[in-house]
Amino acid sequence: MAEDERNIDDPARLADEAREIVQKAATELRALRIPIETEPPTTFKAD
Amino acid sequence: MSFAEIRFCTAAELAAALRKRRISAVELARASLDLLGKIGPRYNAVAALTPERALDEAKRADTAIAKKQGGPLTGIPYGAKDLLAARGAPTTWGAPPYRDQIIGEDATVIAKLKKGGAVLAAKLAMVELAGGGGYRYPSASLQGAGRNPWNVEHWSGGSSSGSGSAVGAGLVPFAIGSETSGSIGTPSAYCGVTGLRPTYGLVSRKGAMALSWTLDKLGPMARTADDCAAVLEAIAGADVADRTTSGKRFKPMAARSAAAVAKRARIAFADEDIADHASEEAKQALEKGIAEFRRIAPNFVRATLPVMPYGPMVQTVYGSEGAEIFAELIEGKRFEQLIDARQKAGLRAALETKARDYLHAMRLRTRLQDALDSMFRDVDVILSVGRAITATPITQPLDNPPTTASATPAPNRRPGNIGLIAAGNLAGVPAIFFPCGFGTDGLPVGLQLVGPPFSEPLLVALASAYQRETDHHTKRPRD
Repeated sequence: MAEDERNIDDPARLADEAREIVQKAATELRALRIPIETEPPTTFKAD
Repeated sequence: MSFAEIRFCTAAELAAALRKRRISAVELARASLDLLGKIGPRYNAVAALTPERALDEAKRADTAIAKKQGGPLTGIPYGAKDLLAARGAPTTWGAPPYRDQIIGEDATVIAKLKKGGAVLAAKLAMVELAGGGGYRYPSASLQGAGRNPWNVEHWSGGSSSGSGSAVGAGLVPFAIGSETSGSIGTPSAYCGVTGLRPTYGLVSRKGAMALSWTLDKLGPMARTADDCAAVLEAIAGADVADRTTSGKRFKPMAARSAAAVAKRARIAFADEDIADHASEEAKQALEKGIAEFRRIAPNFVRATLPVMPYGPMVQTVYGSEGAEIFAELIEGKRFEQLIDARQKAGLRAALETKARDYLHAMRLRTRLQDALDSMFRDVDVILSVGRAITATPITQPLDNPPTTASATPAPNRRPGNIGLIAAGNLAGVPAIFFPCGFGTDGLPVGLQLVGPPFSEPLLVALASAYQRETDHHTKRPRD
C-alpha cells in the first residue's frame, strides 16, 4: 500500500485512519468465535 | 509546621500533626492552596482552586478535631480530577466545550470525602473528555499538557494528569483520579505515586463524567498504599444514585494479618513483561523492583493472561459507549472546540461502530472474566510492570510508536501479562500501582498488582508491605 503523504495531523487523513482503526478492531474481534450461550457480563454484585 | 515540612507529607502524617495540634486544618488548607497556586501551574496540574470551600471545610475540621472527633481524613487537603462535580467550582471535563460548565452539586465521592472531613483544595487537570477518542498529543487538555514533576519536558501521563502531578509534586497528599483503561495507572507510574483502581462498582460514579458506563472507575492516588486505603475506605460503598454500585465496603486488613498474607500470597509473574517489553531506560529498575518484591512475597509462580485482543476489545467498548455519551456534542457545533484533532476523528469514527462489534467485545469480556476466575483459583494476585516505559517526552505523539496503556504489543514479542491494564479494566478487577525506582533517564517506574474482584485489602497489604521495606515512594522531585 502506498504511504499516505498527507501531514500526520491532516483532518482528512485522521478521519480515514480513525475509520480504519474501528474497522481493524472489528475484524480482529469477529475472528474470535464465541460459544452461542455467552452473554455480555453483568456488574459485580454484593453477596 | 513550616511550609517545607508540610509538603510531601502523607495523609497519615498530616492527620497525626493535626491531632497533636502542630498545625490547624485551616493553616494546612492555606498552605495547600498556596502550593497549588504557586507550583501547580509549572505542571499544568490545576483546573481550579477552591479556596472558599477549602477554608470552610477546614474550619469544620478544626472544630471536629478540637472535640476529638473525626477520622483519618479530617482536615486533610486533596484535589479531585476535574471530571467530578463539586459545588462552588466549574467542572470542565478538561475540554473547551465545557469550560464554563457549573454542576451545582457534589459527586458522591466528593460528598463522602466531605463527610469524612477531607478538604477539597482544587479541581485537577485532565485530558479532555478523559481521552476517549484516542488523542495524539499530551496537549489535549484545557489546562495544557500535563507536565511531569520529575522532568517538566516529559508527560505526567493521562488522563488523570493533574492528579498524578499534584501528588507527585507534593502539592496535595492525595487526589481522586478515574480510570477507564489506564488513567490512574499511567500517571501513577509516570509520576512516581501510588494509585488504586477499585473493583468496578465498589465506588459510586454519580456526579462523574461518564466516558464508558461499563468501564469507568474512580480511585485514590496518594504517596502510600496506606493512604490509598484510608481514602478508599471513605469513598467505597453503596449509592442509590449509581445502580452499578455493588454495595460492598472496603476495610483494610489489620497490620498483623497483612504481614502474614504477604508471606504466603501466590504471585503470578511472567518475566517477559520486562524482558520483552520494558524500555532500555526502565528495564533495570523494574527488574530490581521485582527482586525486592520477591523478598517480601516469595511465592512466585509463572502464570499468564489468556491471549485475547485486549486493545481492540477495550477500544471498541469505550469507543462506542463514549461516542454515544457524547453524540450530541460530536454532531454539534461545539465539537470543533476540542483540542486534539486525532481525538475528534476517533470520536466521529466510533459513532459508526456496529452494534454487533460492541456486543462481540462485551461477550469476550465474559470469556475473559471466566478465564480470570480460573486463573485466580491458582494464584492470589498478578504482578506486572505499572508501565513498561518511563514518561514520554511532552511533544512525542502517543500513537507513533504506540505508548498508550491499551496499545497492542508487537506480534514478535511474547505477550506475558503486558496487556494487564486493558484486561484488568475489561474484567472490572482491582489494581494497585506503586513506585519501584527510577529509570536511567531519572524518571519513575513502578509495578502493578491485580487481584480478583474486591481483593483491594490484599492488594493494599502487599503494596504496603513493599513500601515498609523500600523507600522509592518517599523520593521527592526538585522544583
